Amino acid sequence: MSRSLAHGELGFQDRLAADATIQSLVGTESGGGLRLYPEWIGERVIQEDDTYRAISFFRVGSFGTRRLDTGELRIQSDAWVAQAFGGTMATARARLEAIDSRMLELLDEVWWAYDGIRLNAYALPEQDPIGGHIRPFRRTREWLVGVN
Amino acid sequence: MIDQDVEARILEAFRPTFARAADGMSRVATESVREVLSTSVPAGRVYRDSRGRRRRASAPGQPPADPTGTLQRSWDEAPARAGDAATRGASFSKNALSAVLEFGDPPVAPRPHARPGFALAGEKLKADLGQVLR
Repeated sequence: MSRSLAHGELGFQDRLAADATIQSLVGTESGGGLRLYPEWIGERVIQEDDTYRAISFFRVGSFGTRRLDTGELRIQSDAWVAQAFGGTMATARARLEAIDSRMLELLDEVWWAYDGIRLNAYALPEQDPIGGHIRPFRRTREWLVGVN
Repeated sequence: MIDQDVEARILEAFRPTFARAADGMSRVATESVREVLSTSVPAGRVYRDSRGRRRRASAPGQPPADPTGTLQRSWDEAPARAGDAATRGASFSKNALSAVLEFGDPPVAPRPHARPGFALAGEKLKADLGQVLR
């Protein structure tokens, strides 16, 4: 199968979705789907309930190296946890940290294979954008994902 | 092995060159972000501004539409600062809205422009590193 930069995004999603710890940390929707979204969900998170937590991500840019068909993707991920998750802001913040830590374990300075394609990733510094009281806590992080 | 005093003198002699190079990199980064902003064709919804003019907004994920050039002009570079271990330059926006648009702020979807701009700058520097000293 030929490589494409889309493999980077799909591989990124698959690596998170297949992990049992991530599954338990973010949980599932009422319909049964994992709360892991390959799109911006900012419009949605404001109305969500106190048990809300999710991971969303999207491609910020992709940079082919013009060497064979390898390339690099820059992906922004956002972990979201409702401020009242677990009853207090501290428990919500702890859950946010737990999600971020697990993502780092899975995606920082590692390589793995997806659909026969070798992918590697490493994390860039995180930031916690300031939100209003109705918004979930948010941890934004960037990842460089290599498709090679 | 180089004597520490000699090493310090060599570093001192090159310090102005490092500063010029850092300034050059910051300049290329700023120009690249402006280029990303100025060459993007908005593909979002059409609306009328306060004067009734038809405008087209950027779509989520695209660089922000900047019909007045305000965002482009907000990008600037700071003079290089020499430290013990490194000389640093900086390219930044003076408009706080730039960061909001870059990373998104619910419900506003992200419209990355700085990161694609810096990536473009990286490509330019790879192609011609000498431009930072011109």
